Amino acid sequence: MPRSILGTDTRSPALTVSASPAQRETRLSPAQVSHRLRQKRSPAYLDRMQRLDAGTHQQNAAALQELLEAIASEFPELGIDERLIGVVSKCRLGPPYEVHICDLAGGIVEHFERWRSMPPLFERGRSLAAHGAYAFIEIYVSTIRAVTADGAVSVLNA
Amino acid sequence: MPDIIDLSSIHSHINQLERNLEVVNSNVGAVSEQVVAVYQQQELTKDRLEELHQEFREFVAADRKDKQKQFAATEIVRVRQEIEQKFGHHEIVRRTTTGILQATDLQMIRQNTIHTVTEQLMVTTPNYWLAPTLVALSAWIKDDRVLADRGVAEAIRRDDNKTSLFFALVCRRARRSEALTRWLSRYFQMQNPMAIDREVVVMLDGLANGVFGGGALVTCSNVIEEWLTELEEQAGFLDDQRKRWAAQLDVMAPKPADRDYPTLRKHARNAPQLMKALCAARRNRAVHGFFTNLFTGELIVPPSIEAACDSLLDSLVANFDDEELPFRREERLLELIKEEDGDKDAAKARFAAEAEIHQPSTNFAAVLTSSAMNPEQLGATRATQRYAVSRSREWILAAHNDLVARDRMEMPRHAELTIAAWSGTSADGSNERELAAAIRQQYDAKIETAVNAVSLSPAAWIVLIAGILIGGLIMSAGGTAIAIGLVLIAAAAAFFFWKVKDLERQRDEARQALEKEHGQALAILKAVLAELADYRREVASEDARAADVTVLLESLSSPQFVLQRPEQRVSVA
Repeated sequence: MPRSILGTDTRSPALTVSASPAQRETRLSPAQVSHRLRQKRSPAYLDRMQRLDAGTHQQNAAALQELLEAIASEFPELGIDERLIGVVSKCRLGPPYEVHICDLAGGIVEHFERWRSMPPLFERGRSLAAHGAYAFIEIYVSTIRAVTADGAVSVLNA
Repeated sequence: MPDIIDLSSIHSHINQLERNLEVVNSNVGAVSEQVVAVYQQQELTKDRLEELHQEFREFVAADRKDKQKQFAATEIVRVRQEIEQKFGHHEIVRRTTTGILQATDLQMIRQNTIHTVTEQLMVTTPNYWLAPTLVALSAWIKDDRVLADRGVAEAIRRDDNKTSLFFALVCRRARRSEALTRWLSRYFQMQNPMAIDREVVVMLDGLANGVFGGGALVTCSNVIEEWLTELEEQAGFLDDQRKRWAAQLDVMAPKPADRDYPTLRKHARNAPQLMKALCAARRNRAVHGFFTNLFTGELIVPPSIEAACDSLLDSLVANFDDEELPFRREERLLELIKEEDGDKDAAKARFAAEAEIHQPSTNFAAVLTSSAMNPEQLGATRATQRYAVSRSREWILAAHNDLVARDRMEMPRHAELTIAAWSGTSADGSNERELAAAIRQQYDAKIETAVNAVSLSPAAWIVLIAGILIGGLIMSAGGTAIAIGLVLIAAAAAFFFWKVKDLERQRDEARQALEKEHGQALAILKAVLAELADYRREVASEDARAADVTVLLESLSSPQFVLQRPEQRVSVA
């Protein structure tokens, strides 16, 4: 099919990852959000997420605040409603614990035994977290994203 | 008034009653035994009915598949005949194309003969783009510029894309680099990577097989990169491309074999999900094997540029006529139904994964995917297939990772087991002791119920009461009747106690039947758990192969898969 010479430019604006306040105001399209969330996670972000298991966040509000800041700085161009709502990962505390969650909205870190059900939104990521091939599972409203230790992201529609 | 009472008639009646009671007694005993037997028969019949139902469903499914396969085989013949009937005359024109070029190379045919042949084809195949193209070609060979211009103009009017590619290849064959570049540039200027015609595969073939050397090779490579960059800037393109690849990889999952974990399949309620997860894990091996085979072995390179160009020209003229597309679509679906042994759903899934091949135009990235996964449908060569895979590796990797994550998420965490009336769950077959105890517990309860259900029949009580009453009545007459009455009461009591004693025998029988069933259930449980343990081991091992696919794909890079022909090694860096 011949290329149309006249017509609207269908190209999307280039993605930006700057954290400047001016750019934060520009909302990304759903496709751009999806593209951004598929990009490899930074080592700093991975490191911060993997510290969840140390259990400090359960008692320490400051540690949890640091975690929230790490997420905000990982996705500065995303609105709060576009960011993850929590994380599920394999629990290293050993039996009977299987996985733990970090519910960012409620600021709760909780460890779950093999037999205990998690909140429905988090339960979706349980099998993947327990599998052990992923460092952690990010939970979004309509998707879950499995992140490996090197930061690679696999996407699943919930 | 006589002194002696005649009790003979009472005697005979009592004897009769005793005999009748014995008959009733034996009948009640028989009925009781039959009840136990009927219970066992009922369980057996239930199992057999389930087996029969399963076999019947399998038979119906197999029969349906057989019919579909036969129907597809017949229909393919019809569709091919229709193609032959409607487009058979195109075939003559196609064969003439390389015939003219080769005859000219050999200088064995007079120019007038070639000219006459092409004129005839022009007359006999109206509206076909290739006819005026051949007229122009023969006029060019004959050095008749006016006719050549007219032929080219008409061919361009009929199909600009194919004509431009055709003459680009002819110029490459004649080693006219400048003309080749101009025809290719003309072709590229008309293309829109968002909706590109399928014959672009010929350009990819030319690039991957090293047919386009020097400037043309650089131009093609640059244009491809520009197209892909342009596509990647489109909103949602990357997601579409990953979905496209995911669909292609997903249909590579093998089907479960009949010998796969038969006991587990029979006794797990979630067997379909377990088998689906197994096949999904086995897909990693299939995907790895596919890409390994693709990149293993030497490519067969045509011996000369002429031969390589002729092969591309054959492909250009034979594989991309849009009028034939509806028939080719039908033919392909029927072929897939045949390949899938009549499984229409599996055939449709494969057809959907390659649907874009059968569209007149699609986006360029989809053409790359189709060239990589269904090269035979587009006439693409193995070199093109390698190039397309290596150029698509990032999308393939993302699609592969998404699929693997999906399969891991969908893997059932437990097998939901049902053995006779018992049900339980096991994650990996390691909880045999716990499940065996649960079965024991259930059978203990069943045995208790069955044993308690065995009680004295009303007949025994009737005999006892009737014996006492009648005996008492007789005894009231006094004299020898007392002895008779006592005998009657003793007989009734003896019968009653015999019945009480027989209860134990019936209870033992019920207990033994259920113990036997329990033994069978335990044996099945052992077999199921052993298969489940093997299943988990196999799934873990197949799942781990996902990493092999990742390593293989990450090692590919597209420039290394552009063939360098011997004559180009000096000119192309």
